[in-house]
Amino acid sequence: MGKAEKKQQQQEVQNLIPGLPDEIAMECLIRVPYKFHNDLKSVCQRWLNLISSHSFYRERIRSGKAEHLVCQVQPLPLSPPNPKDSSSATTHLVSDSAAKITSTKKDQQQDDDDHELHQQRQEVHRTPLQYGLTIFNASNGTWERIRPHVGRIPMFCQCVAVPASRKLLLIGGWDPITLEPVPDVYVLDMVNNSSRWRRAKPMSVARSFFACAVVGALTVCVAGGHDGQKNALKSAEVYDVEADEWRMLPEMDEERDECQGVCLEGDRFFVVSGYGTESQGRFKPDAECYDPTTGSWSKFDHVWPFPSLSPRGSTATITSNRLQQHQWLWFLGKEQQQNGEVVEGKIVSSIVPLPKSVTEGSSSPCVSVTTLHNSQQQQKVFVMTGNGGRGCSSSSALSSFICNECEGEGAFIMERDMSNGNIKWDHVHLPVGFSGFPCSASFLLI
Amino acid sequence: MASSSSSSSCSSSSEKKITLKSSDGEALNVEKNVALEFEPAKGFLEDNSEEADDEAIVVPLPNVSAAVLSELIPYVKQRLELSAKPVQKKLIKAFDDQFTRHLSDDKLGELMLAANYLGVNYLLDVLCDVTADRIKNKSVEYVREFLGIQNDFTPEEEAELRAQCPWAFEGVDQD
Repeated sequence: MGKAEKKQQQQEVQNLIPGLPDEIAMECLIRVPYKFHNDLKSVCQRWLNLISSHSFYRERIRSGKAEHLVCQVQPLPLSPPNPKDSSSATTHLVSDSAAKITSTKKDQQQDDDDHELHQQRQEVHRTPLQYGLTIFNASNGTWERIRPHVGRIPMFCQCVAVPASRKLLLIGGWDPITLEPVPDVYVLDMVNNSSRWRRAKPMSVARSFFACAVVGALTVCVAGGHDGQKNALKSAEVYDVEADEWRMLPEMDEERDECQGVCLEGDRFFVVSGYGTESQGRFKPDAECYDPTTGSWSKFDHVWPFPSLSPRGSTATITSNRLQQHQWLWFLGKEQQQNGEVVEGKIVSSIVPLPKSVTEGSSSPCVSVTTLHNSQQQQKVFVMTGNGGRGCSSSSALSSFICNECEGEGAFIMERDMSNGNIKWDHVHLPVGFSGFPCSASFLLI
Repeated sequence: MASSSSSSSCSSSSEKKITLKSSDGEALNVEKNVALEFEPAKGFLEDNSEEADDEAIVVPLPNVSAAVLSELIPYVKQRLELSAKPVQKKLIKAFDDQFTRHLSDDKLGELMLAANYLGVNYLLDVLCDVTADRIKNKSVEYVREFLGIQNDFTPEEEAELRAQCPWAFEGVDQD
């Protein structure tokens, strides 16, 4: 920089930026957007250490510079219309991770399969639906896709962000080729080595459509779902993210397939609704809650009033300090909207009507809901619907949402003003190739 | 206190002036309300508040050159006028953009040091944004050159770091 600084440089080689006090250099560096952090790490050793440290990301959060990322597992378009999305970048990631993630012979086999799959795709574009990890950056409205290993991300796996360790987990789901449930867990460290999925310890059983939530700072609880024989499960287990270890929890009282996981009060794990093997598709009205201090489950009745509807995806939990209650928001279609508010103990469930353009297409639309922001003043929730296709909306009331460059009209941000309860919906631009309905989504502030 | 705030309609020329003395010994006359935006000057004026005549006060600012001060003073003055009105944030942003757009890289560094020393946090904030903006989406070589940072990696370490490319990026900006 300046001449004066150049002179000082000799004495201050350890400074983050020569000539500037470290605190100002830090102020500059925390403002560089997340997607460029990998480049910054290659500048020098001190920057590498800083930008790999948790304190750097804590500082970004403290100063309000952290970015809001919605991480979603999304089906990839079958023949990518976007050239950026297909060839060079993708193949680089494929070969890179394929070379690194292998640890067993079985893996090797699968990698070969992946490779074949990829080639097939280029030849005929007629392969099983493939999934990718999509990052919607709500801070600047951009969409990016990381596709570390094509054909490998399990269908319907649960995507869970663990904020305290800045890691992203993919848990369970179905093998994309055999369509069998898998116990697999993949971890992506968003701060260090963010180019590679690491295969973590698997769950004790293959599991899909289970309840899942980050409970406490660094553990993830899973419960219910179904196994490889389509049996609904009672079992529950907890994953320690740092130790990479699974531990069994006591079983729940009942089997719960297609149930929803919710964490309340920081460490209480609720498993809501679901159904047993013998009563497939009839969703239970109750929930079970695991309390880690007593190590036992307890039951809550009358929590879910919709016997033909799964709470998965369509609900968002929001803790509000008002009256020591927990608020649970349901994003539902027209048919369910008459129900109003459901209060059970400390849980208040309120129904948030979806925008008309969404409900007109279907009476119970699929929605994927991710909480972005929650404070005493305002709640902000990202909602993506299965009604992505153009033309499904004829609503004139929402014509302002319709964006000519969007592939679909299925992404929104809901803002709820807590002082008066008013709800405002904003359309989110959905670029070509990103309209696939996310089977799982999670939020990370980074 | 001397009455520096008679009324907002009062033209700035009639306001009390203070003299700031730069590191290179130049004396610069500024309105008192502008001088008060600089923490060291504010402290100095408070310590010498019994002085009857503000005009006689000379505030030494031994860490800032006259060249930098003469950039800072008009900025702070206009920024004060802007924030006195109920203007939209957009206008302030546009003003800040205009101020920073043509700053040379050297000047940017000097202003940051000065804004830090003088405690002008809103300017420091803007300058940090500008610095972050100038190093994002640039090649690693450019960033090192721009900030005068020595590459202390071995070629092997550097190659490994660069192989980590999580996002399907478009190319970086022209340096």
